[in-house]
This record gives sequence, structure tokens and C-alpha cells, in this order.
Amino acid sequence: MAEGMLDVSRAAFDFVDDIERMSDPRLLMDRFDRELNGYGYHAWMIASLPNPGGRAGSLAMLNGWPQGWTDLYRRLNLIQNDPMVAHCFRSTAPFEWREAPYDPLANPKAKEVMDRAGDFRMREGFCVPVHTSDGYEAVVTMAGERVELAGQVRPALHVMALYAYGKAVDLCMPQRFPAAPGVFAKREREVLQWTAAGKTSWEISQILGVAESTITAHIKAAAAKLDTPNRVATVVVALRRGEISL
Amino acid sequence: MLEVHVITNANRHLYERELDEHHQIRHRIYIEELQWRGLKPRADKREYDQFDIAETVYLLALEQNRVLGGLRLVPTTGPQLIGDVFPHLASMQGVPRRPDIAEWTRIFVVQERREDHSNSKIRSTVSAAMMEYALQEGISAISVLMNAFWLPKLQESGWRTRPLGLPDQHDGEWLIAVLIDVTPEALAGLRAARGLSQQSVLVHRDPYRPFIPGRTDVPAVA
Repeated sequence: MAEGMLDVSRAAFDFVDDIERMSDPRLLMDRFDRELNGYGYHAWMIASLPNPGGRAGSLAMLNGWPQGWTDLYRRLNLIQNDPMVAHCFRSTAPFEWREAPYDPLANPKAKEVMDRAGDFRMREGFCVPVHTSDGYEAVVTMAGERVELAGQVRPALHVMALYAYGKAVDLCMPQRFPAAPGVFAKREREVLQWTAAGKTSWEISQILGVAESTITAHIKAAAAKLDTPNRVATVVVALRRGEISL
Repeated sequence: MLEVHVITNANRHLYERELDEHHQIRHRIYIEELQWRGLKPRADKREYDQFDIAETVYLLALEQNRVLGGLRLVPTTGPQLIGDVFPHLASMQGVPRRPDIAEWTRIFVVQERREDHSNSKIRSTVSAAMMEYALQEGISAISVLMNAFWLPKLQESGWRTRPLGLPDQHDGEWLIAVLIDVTPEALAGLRAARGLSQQSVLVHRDPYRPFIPGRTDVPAVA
């Protein structure tokens, strides 16, 4: 038993060491996925949480959820009733799903979220809430059917989650030096706002009555101003800076 | 103008009033407000512990002679919180004990100057001053025991840390011990992330005493 505990601790430290040098988010995802799988967690996500009422889809930094669950979660906007997300806003400490009780009778929509998660073999889970300096909430969440949390596993998952989060921030938001506020043109801000609401470029082009290529150009221009690698990172950084809101 | 003053055993006599005010603030925060177990209320309403010693360096944020925030550093070669009280939190990497590693404890901001999200301007200013002081003094790393909740905030400022052990629960808090790399990037990163001026707010009044005993390459601006 003592030896097993040491193995768990050692594995967590090896993980922290290994990801320190990574520069490719895909490698981080593979490594994190492998590590969590060993404890029965097949689904995980590192995500910024929108303020209550917002949409989740665009805010995933690294998404290790089953594709079907991601699609469903976005389409039905399940984040609004997800009791684990609600608990993240109340808790500074990591928690198991079972430690975040909700009343299924008083809150049938929350029960529906959990039932649907069960359909994707996500029945038990562990969440590490993150409270950022800017007042945004984020979470490293992991789930599986039968998961391991005994002994040193819980602190090992905790430390791995914290360092995976730090690395995800590094890789998804490389530009740390804030631009002056009001960096975007009016149309760029508008387009980012729609993007944050989960709209595709084509959908935004229909809403604003312009060509889809124009929308793409606006997003590229915004990304260039923030020095972000892609649309998701651009939205996350813009949110954090208060350029757009949810 | 907010300044962060470096108070060592050598210039302590210049700051007797400020240091006393700081011990009173610590009593209000750690004993009355946070009610840390292991700290008993004191008749003199001043909080001290076994790490307030001759070698301790205090960085105090002063504005018009009032103490608004601060922290303290001790050399890890002497008494230290992680090694003496929480060594099991450093069980994987071992307790740091080197002249060029400082242990950081007791960061605080007075109640009336705190802001939302617990990461106020004053807290950031004091943290940046610590990084700057460490760079000046040739300190290579800073060990700290903290609620794991703070770790992402450090990471977001570009601070590189390594855990010393796994987190552990203590009085309902998940604590973690980490070692923070002292680098110019960490200083610049924190200033940028928190919108602080790139100019120094450190004040170091003579007589000067190096953090690392016997260190001769005294910084040009002491």
C-alpha cells in the first residue's frame, strides 16, 4: 500500500515535470488523457466558465470530452443547469461530484444534465475550480464510470489539474502583456461577441448582413491584435480583458 | 505614493513604529479575522511567531506612513515553516535549505484596502516587490506554503513554480508547498498581468544588510 501511494505521487510529479517543457497543446492533452485514464477518468475538460447565464461552448481551453457530449452540451446549453458548474462558483476547494449535492426534485433540470452525462459514461467526477486573478472562474473537470480517488490519488489529481491548467493558460494565451483597453474596432468587437455566443462565421455573416469572408477577416484582425493563435483563445482573452462580455 | 520598504535587521531601528503597526495588523488578520489555529490571541494585540527573528526580512507597503500590506521572508537555512511545521508537504522534493532560497510567509493587505477577487493592487505590488528584491539579492528561488487556490494566480502572472509535495488538507484548507523560480520574466510578467508600473517601488534605506550572508556583489542601488 505504501509503495502504491509512492507510485501515485511519483506519477503526479513526473507529469508536472513532463508538461513543463511542452509547447504543443496536443501533447499536453495526450499526456493528461493518459494519466487520467489510469484512474478511470475517460472524460475531462479545462475550461473558463462564463458568468451564470452564458454559453460554454467557446470557452473550452482544452477539451477532452467525448465529441457527442460536447455537441449535446453546447446544443442544449446544459451549462446553465449543470449543478457541478454551479458548485464551482461556490467552492474554492476541489470536490467530487457526490460532494456537490443538489435536490433533483427541486431542480429537475440539474438532474437531467447529470442523467445525460451518465449516458456518456460520466457518472462520477472530480472538479478542481480555479479562480483567476481577473475574477473569472475556470475549472478542470474529469469524469468516468468508476473512478479512483482513494489515498494519495485525490491530491495527485489535484496537483496535476492545477499544473495542467497553468500550462493550458500558457499555451492557449501566450500573450501576457495586456494591450491598451479598447483595442478592437467596433465591428471586430461585435463579431467576437457573437463568436463568444457560439455563432459560426457563417451565422454571424447572416446576422450582420455581410460576407462570411468579412467575418473571418475581423476575427483574424482581432487575433492579430491579441497575438492569439486561434478563435477560441481570442475569445477567452477578449473576455478576460473585458473587451466583450457574456 | 505606495512604496515597499525593505526592513532588515540592519535598518529595523528606522521602522520601529511601522513594524509595530504591522504586528498589530497581523493580530487583527490572522488571529481575529482568519482565526488561524495554532495562533493564540495575545494581550498586547500583536502577532509574532517563531519566524520573526533577526534574519527575517519584512517588505512593507507604506502610504503616507501607514502600513497597507506586506510580507516576510526568512532564509531557509534557519527556522522555516515548511521544514519545521509542514515537512510532509515537501515529501517529494525535500525541504529547501539553501542560503539562496528564501521562504515567503504572511502576505497581507489591510481589510479596508482589499478589492474583489482577493488579488488587490496592493497584494500584486507587494508580490512584485518581493520578486524584485529577490533578483537584487541573488535569491534563486522562493519557497511558499499556501492554499492551493493561489497557485493558478501565480501561474497566470508567468511565475514558474514546482511543487515540493502533494497538496494536503489542513484545517479544511488544501495546502501546497511550492518553489517559485526568481526570474526577471516573473517580475515583468506580474507587472504586466496586473497593470503595475514597470518602475520600482522598492525603498531600501541604509544601513544595508544582504539577504545572503557574506554576499559581496551588493546591488548598485541599495
